[in-house]
Amino acid sequence: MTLRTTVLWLLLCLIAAWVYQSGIAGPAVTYNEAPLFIPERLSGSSVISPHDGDLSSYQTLERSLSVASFALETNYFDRGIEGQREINLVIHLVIALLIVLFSHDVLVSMGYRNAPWLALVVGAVWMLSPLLLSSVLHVPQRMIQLAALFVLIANWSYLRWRVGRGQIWLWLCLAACLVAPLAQESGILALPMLVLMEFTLFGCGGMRAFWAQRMRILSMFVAVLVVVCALIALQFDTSISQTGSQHFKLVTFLSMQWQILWAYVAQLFWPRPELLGVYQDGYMVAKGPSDATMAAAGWFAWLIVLFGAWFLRRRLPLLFYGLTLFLLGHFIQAYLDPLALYAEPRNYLVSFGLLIAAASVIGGFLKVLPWLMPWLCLAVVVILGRNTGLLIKEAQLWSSERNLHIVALNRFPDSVQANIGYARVLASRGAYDEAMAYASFEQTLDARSALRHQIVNLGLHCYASRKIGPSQLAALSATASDFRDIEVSQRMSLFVQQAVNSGCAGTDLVALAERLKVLTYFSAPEYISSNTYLSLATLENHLQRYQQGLEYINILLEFSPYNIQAKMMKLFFTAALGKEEEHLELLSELRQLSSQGKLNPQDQYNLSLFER
Amino acid sequence: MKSGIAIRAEYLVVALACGVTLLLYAVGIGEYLLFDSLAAIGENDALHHVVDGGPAHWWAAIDSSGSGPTGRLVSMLSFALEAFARGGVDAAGIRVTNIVIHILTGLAAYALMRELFSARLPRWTVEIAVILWLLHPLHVSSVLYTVQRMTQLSALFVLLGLLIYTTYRQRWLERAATPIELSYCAFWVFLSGALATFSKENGVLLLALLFLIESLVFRGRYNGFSSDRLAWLLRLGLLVPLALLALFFVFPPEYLVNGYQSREFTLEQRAVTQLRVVWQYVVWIALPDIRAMGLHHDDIVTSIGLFEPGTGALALFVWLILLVSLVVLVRRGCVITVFALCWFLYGHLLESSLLALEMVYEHRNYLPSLGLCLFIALLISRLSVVRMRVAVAIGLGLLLAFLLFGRSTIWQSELDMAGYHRHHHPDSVRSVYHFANAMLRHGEESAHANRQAALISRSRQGYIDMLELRPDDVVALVTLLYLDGKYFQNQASKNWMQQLHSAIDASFIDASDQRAMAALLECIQLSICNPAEVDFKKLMQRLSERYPDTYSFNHLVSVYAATVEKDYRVALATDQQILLQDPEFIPAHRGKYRWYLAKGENGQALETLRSLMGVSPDLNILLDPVLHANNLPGLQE
Repeated sequence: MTLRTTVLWLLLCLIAAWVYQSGIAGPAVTYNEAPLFIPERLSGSSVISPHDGDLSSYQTLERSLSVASFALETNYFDRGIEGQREINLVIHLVIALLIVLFSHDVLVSMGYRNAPWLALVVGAVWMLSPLLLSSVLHVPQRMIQLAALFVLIANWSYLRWRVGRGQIWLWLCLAACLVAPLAQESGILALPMLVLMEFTLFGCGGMRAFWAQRMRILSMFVAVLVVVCALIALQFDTSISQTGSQHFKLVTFLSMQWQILWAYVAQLFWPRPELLGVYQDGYMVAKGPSDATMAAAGWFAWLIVLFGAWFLRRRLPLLFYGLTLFLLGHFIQAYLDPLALYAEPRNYLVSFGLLIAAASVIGGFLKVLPWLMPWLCLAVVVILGRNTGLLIKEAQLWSSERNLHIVALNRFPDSVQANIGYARVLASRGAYDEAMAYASFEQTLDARSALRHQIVNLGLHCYASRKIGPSQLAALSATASDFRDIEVSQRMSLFVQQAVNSGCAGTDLVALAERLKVLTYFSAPEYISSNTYLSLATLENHLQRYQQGLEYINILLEFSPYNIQAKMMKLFFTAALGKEEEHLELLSELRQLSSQGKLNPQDQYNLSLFER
Repeated sequence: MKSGIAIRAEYLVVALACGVTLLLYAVGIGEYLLFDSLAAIGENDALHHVVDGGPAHWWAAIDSSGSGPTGRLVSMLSFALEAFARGGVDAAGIRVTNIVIHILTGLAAYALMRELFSARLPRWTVEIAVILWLLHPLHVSSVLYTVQRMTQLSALFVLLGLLIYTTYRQRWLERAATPIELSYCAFWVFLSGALATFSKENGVLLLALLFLIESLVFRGRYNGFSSDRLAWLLRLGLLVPLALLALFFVFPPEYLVNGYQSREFTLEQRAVTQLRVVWQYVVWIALPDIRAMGLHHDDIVTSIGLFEPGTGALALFVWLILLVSLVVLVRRGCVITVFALCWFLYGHLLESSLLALEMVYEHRNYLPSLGLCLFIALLISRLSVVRMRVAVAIGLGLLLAFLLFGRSTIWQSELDMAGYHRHHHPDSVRSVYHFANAMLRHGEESAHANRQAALISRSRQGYIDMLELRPDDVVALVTLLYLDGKYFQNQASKNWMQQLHSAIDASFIDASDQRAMAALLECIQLSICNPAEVDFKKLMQRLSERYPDTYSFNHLVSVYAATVEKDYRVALATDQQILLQDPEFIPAHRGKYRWYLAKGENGQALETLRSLMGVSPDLNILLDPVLHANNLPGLQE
């Protein structure tokens, strides 16, 4: 990087920080933001709260690195949502820097003369893209950010090792590859991305026989990975139906993804504000079901683009690399987290592939047609200017729960989440009847589980500071399949949190706990998610019904014997119930797990409280 | 010269003229804002908030002009930057910057003229033209009228664009352009044009002026090749704007006609009047009598037809003679003279032709006057005796400097300026109003009781004078109601209310009259005006009947019901009725929001806010102080 580009980059970083600043202040704005990040301490408090217990049930890697980052923040820099968003912003800026460094090195290695400027453009467009706003200001998306950070470190290190900067970069690459999936599942993208880079940019050339042989082994490994993915795909509909949260099948998913990918491209370079938002279910609802012609057109257009990039691969290897990275990254992420057809955060990592592809095309044009330079600069400035303006407006929305939800609902009036969010805003301002009207409308949009809506309605009572009466509790009902629904467990978690914190205007929480206990009998215990058990146990703990809480935890441990948080709660309940022997046994077991490094910092901290 | 650096005398003289211009304008730096400057700068909340606000406030400030289809973003950005740098809106500071921009524009004009004509004209001609332009007192109402920075910036960028084009074009006379040169030239001209247009819409004139330069100066000559046919074709092309104007006059597009709905004159009347007005501009530039100049020229009579007044036909006749003369001059090879006159006419193509703008403004001459200044300089250069040339040039320069000093001095104080204009434009209702209004504001702000009483008494007389000029002037009547209600209760006064009711029935109600109705409501809200006497609802009902498409009168009924009668049900019903007819009428949404809040119906208030943000997803709505300033629990953001 030259001095001029470095100074300009610092200036752009300042602008980005300033622009995001208007969205930093303000309350938690989404319903799943609060419960994720309240890992309450066990220090003598009778309140214990679950923190994303569902991670252990369907996300095998537990995102321990991300959880650790939140735990560390809670313990040492606890400044609430504002502080969490500030840290997300810092991570965003660091990733942007990594993108610039990686783009610069990769462009230099491919012989581009304007590499510093092109890298700057890639980094700036990425850093100031409104499409990535929800990944930065929606606190839980730090997981995606951290995964992206380590994946990029892995890529950059590999590139530097590959261009002969020393063996240490290879070790750094391997370390980053190992750490990335611990932040979020998309971290496993590091490996295919490295393979893609090697094959498209370096073609395994210039390697000593030793490494070339290992690259071949690695490529076989990747082939196996592809087969595994295919197998997962075959199981796709089954796994989706187990979560019970979406109603699309693999065929729908595949056909629509091609169109959605085009939408992402448009949103990255020239975003339409009416399609931006925090609620990702809104997009597809707004766009409506895709017809076969459109799906085929989307697929065919990508095919042409890829064929063109393949045809030009010798002249513009970065074009093929960038496009493939974008497509591969999206499909792998969509497989890993198939709960939504459209998700802005999926672009957080892989959108830079598109930008590198664009930069390579611009660089290629400038080689042949140098007179295009001012016009391309103007185009970049216009795109950056427009995107920054839009980012300012969108970031401002995040500072106000009210405004964010109003805009979300205006943009996506048929979005389930937007309706619930707005109903919550109405209820928290005392407008109970209006809130219930939106909740009722939401039920007409989503008829998959009655329990979902009942829990939302109870939650609205709490927000509106209205007592939940016995008749309403008696009306609560559930079918066996209701508890298989992730949405139910998330809403239950939020509702319990509310009930524990606010008391729901004098609602008889004992009666509520009893009713919930009865409802769980209708479902097979193995279908009830960990998070639901943890929520129920939290409620029982609040009511000081430790025995019942312990029963929930015991059932949970029966089906999830390695759930650390359940063990921590059990430790608390056994202490409260005076079950000395069981308590000591569990304490010893947890100490052992701690010494093996299996407890995250938050759990270690909680354990240390019992040690005292 | 020392170390061989020879500074040309011309540069020294131009630099001196810039210095003198700076000093003469500095005399007129006052700390007040008036008319459009108030709406765009002084009372622009978004602009005030850039000092302590975040990026959203900056964006809102840049997008807050509310004028023209481009939003004049570049000009508003300059005001925002200045407000930020100075820690708030500072009228004197804005004027200092405007003076600097004036000098920069003069230097850009000088560079352009030198590039175009230095080799073809006698020495000092270009310098004289630029100095005349810099010192011309007509530009005081562009430079010291703060909001006209928009005009200044537009002119500056137009000149820079032309300079860039001319510089490149000179190179291509004898050799071909390289692709890189072509690309860079097009790029910089495009950028200048964009900056000019986003400063003020008449920046699009860059294209017309560029064509003027090409057809009269370069004549299509390129790479050592020239063609007489092409040259004549280009010259013929100069008539295209005239043909287009004629076409639009005969077959006016709908948007052009619609613009006249809010004017007291028709398209035909404006077209005929402009034939006279542009001659008036010529007179002001050629014979700069500062007594005739002013902020308002509504005392210039609107032409009803070519012969009412008869000067319309005369003006047309003289324009036709000029047109023929221009053709003759072109044939005789006096292209620079033709260029100078065409520059003036092309500069007026937008604002002084068919668009439904106000009739007369001095600042419309800011860029066009450069052509007439060049014409005058050409005439001076034609004088056969050198001493006479020098004497006339210096004499004219000194005269303009003296007049500029005089006019700047008048502009130093708002009261002096308003009084001067009132005195020299006794038939201008707006000048009379400005003086009366200035006295009222200064009187109310005055800490000395005697001075306050004197100023307010003179102000009242000023408004009565207004009524003599225009007996059914709504603004004057409303202000007199306010003045008598507040300061002259014990005096026997005329029945302004009766006159107001008659005026409402008879006169044309424009935007300022609508604001006067809001002021009347405020007068009632402050218990200065007697609601029983005013019968506000009846007034509004009458206005609504006369102007069924103007919903602001109905909305004022809603505000009246809510704030005076405390009848929120009627207020809500009225605003709801408006929204049924025009769902995008923002004040009705905001009214509903406020009335629901006042009633304690928070849910309905939020619903209203949602529908408001649905029809106008503008960030400014979110920053609207009305939407934030509520004290009801649970709604404070």
